Amino acid sequence: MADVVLRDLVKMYESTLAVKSINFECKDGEFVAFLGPSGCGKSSTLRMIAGLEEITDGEIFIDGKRVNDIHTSKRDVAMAFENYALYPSMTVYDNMAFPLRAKCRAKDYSVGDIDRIIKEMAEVLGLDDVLDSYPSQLSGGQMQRVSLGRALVRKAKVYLLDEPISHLDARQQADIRRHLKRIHKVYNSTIMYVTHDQQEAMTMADRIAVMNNGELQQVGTPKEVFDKPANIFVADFIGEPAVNFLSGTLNVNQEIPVFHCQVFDYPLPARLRPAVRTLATGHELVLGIRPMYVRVSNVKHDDCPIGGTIYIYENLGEEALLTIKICDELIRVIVTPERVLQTEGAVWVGFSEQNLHLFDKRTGQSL
Amino acid sequence: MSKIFLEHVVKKYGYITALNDLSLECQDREFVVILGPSGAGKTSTLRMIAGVEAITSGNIWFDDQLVNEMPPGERETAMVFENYNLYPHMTVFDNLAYPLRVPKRAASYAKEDVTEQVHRIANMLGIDTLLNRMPDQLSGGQKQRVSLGRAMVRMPKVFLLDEPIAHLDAKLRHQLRAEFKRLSREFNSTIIYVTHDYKEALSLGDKVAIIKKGELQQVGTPEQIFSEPANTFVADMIGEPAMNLIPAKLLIEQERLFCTAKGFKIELGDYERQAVLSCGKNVSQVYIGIRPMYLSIANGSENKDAISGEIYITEPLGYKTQISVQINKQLFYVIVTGDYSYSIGDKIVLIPNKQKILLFDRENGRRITIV
Repeated sequence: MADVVLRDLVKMYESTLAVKSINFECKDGEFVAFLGPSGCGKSSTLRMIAGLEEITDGEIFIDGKRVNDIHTSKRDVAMAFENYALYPSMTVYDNMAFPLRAKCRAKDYSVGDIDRIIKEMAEVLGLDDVLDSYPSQLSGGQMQRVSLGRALVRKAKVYLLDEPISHLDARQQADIRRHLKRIHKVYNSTIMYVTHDQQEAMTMADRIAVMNNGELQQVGTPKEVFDKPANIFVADFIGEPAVNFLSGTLNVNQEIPVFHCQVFDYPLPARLRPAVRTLATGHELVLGIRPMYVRVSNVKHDDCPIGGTIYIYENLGEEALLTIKICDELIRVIVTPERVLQTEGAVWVGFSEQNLHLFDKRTGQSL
Repeated sequence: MSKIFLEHVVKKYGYITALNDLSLECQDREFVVILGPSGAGKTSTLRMIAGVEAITSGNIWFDDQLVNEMPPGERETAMVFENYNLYPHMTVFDNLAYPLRVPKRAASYAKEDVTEQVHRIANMLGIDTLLNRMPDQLSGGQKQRVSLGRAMVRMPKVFLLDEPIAHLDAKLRHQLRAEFKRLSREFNSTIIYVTHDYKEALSLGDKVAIIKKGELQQVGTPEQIFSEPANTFVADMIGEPAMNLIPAKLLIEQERLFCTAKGFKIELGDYERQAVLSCGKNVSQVYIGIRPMYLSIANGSENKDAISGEIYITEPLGYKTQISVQINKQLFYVIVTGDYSYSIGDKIVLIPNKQKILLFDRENGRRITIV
């Protein structure tokens, strides 16, 4: 267990700046997820921490010690990657036991210890039936689980996991997610986890570092990035189905500032008024609202003043998804199926004010 | 007009039975989804309807015509696959127009007709601005729309789709699913859609057929397969997290029916009692099925149906949270909305919504219903 500090970390591949001066601190015992689309620099960051990638500029500290010039094998980090890198000539059991049998650790683990650890891990990861199989006999999902297991069996200061469950089907992913989070909580391990899947980051991490274009966009708890996205990118990336965005302009000619768009005029709630105080009429804004915070009614009233029609209705069992057309804009709404009064025709919508987000269109920043 | 009827269809590959005695009816212009895990026989079914795969035994009818021996070209079906198979050297326009220009149909479509039809379809799919692009200038979602458009352009009577959006990323998939639902209303075709994604099945289908290892498990409306699954396989296939299926024993005490396992004893309602009595045999080993949304968590309760357990892990999803609760080494999944304040190891109780409990016979997996 250890903390990890990144200071002004830069990675450059020839002329491409992959990681642009990142400052970040992963606390001892923390589970941090680096989340972003492909090419955002999340894997490069992790590989620099692992020591697999040269650091172009900046510093990395593990457990208070500068590791820039320390070889991977001496950093005491355990790793698992999207591609499995298993030893093809070894059984699943031997692959997973390998880190425990390594010369430098052989004296710490007896044969009995190893057997107990491997069997426990195999059970958690659903690999008990294939312990005697060879990698070539496994599915992609199974190989990934072996690779993850091999990383988790040994004690390490930091666990670095790069998309370790991306090849599993949805059900298996959910299963491993629960167990991995449980392992983290029970053993207090420091985990740095790279993923493009917002659901993995949301469900497991203590904190999420959202990245795009080599830069940190926001660092916060799952609740913070979900409820208070720093910019349009984060708002759009987190949550499924995604945030509804409406483009419009500010109008401050009236007593109450109004968000004006082709579809409707929306007087800004008191909470958002201070943010636009310095802006002029005509300033371009983007209004964001999550699908679960849109109210729908079959009659017009104060809470649901905007008229539209139901464009698509999807009942997904646990929840229902309405796509509502308001002029040319489509707004998606999640409701519980029991609360659906109608599946077509005219409806009225309104927004839950405390969940409304306002962004500056030009900078993308939250106001 | 095209009604499709599969009558006792069997497909064997050598010794392996891919499809065993499948009977399925698709009404004219109905949207039927075939749902199942990989290897279930979904794609084989579709290929037999298209005529590109021979059937081992049984019959396939289009309206009143037996098509067993009819070559694919005469069946007027169009097929869309997971991979788009666009012609890389042709523009989007030419890709879309291709089916109308093949020698067989060229006579029936004048040049203006082709142009008009391509534009009409492109408009419908929102790809009208891409007509001059080459396939390698398109995103995955755009390519899939072109692929759909190419199948639609000749107005097939029967539209066969094999996991058409499976490989797209989650956001795009959900967007296309909704769009496709909207579009399908305008097709005027009978649609058979194969998928392994239960949400696509629930969203799109008028009717859903669930297949497992070549055997039909249930056919029903989305509502039916969600709330009245025929067996544990269907129950488990639909929903995320999956339905909790808990081994338990039935017990009759003074005319009242209970289900019990280590740690809890729940009295069941009238429907279950009648169902158990009417099923004609002495069932005692069952699974209790309850969806995660129908369980609630409390700190303690006088409720006699409460099940004691402890929090295994909590997983926030923004507006709702999945909570795994450990009860006698088994995990129960619960979905809660709004704020919660549970952490690992907390002792809590689960209270089931008893109206929503389903009973399955542990011997054969079938749901116990009033016969």
